[in-house]
Amino acid sequence: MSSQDIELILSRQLSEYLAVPMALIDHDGKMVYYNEAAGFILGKHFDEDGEIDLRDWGGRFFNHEGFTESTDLHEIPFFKVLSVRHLVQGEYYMRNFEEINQKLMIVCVPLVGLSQRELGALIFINLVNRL
Amino acid sequence: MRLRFWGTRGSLPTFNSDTQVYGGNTSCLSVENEGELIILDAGSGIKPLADSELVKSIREFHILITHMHFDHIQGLGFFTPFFNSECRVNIYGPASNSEELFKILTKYLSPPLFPVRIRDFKADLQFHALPRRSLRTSHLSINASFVCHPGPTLGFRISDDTHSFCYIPDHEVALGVPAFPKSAEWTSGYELAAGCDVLIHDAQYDTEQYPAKTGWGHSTYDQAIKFAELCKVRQLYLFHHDPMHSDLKLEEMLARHKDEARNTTVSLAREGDCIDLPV
Repeated sequence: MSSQDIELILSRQLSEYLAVPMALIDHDGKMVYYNEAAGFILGKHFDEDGEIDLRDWGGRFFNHEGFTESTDLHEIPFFKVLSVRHLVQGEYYMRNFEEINQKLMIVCVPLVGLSQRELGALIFINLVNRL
Repeated sequence: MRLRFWGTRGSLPTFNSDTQVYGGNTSCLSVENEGELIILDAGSGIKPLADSELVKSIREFHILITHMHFDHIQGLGFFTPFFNSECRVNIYGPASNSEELFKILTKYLSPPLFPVRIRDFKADLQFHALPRRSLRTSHLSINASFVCHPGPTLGFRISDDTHSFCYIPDHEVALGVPAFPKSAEWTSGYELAAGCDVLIHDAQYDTEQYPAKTGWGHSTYDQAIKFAELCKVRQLYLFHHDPMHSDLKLEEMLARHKDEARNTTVSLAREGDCIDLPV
């Protein structure tokens, strides 16, 4: 078994101590950890449900609060941050894994290690309101 | 492959009547294999290595530096092959965001901290920032990864065709993990150490010392043993002895914690000792 890079390990350890909703994405776009506060928003609990794959986000983000037109996968902030390689932030409409529609403020910070190693991203999620 | 401890002490060279058994020099190991010599860290232990017969017939050296804390580089200026124009010395160390490896080492190896400048060294010096995808000498492969310690810090795994050992001298493996260990995937250094024959690992503190020194970058005896067990290591050498710990204290701590290992043999790293692989 391989282990995560130290930057991700330390980020997870920090996030476990925070009440701020925070998640970690690896360089492939897999959400490899989300803390308890983020789990409440996502509608999943990491200890029970584990990692979230790229394909699991399909149909969960929407372009408008009508929740009718789903967002293209590559425009979802968790993945956009990996391609643009700079900070991505904005308001997003997400139907969580408990099928609750929500408006979220999401900030994604690319995690670039020493020697420009691309490790993934730190994700901060704020629940604006539930719709 | 033969490993030899030239310095096992952490933080500060410590020479007194209480450190005669396990030694007072700071981190340095040599790896001899089929005429090659790899040196791990350049603490004060590199001085007796440089004075030994071991280096006399060798003209190309590889010095792998885990990190730039002083106890791991303070002997560098006393490595005599630097002053031999027939020698080539490859120096490997952790990459930095701000400065090249050469410039970082120059801060120490230049006045006013040191009387001789790197540029006055006679040997052919080559500097290499790590980690990179793979590193090979003629007969050995070397993997380097960052591990948990203040500032960029590497651990190394060195392997021949059949055996491997891992060197993580400064490692706070349980930082922020109250119920250590958690899963292997989320444990610093796991991939480096997994399944190796010999692990040489930080064990600076006793359990009751740790709460006051959390975040200083080091592990306790019990944490090092749990890490070795998690990694399914055959033999663990406790390393980077605290300068405040006497020989008797080290032996007392080992006696208290040794039985916590179920599948791993646990020993104290002792200056001058050799380990031959396979063990």
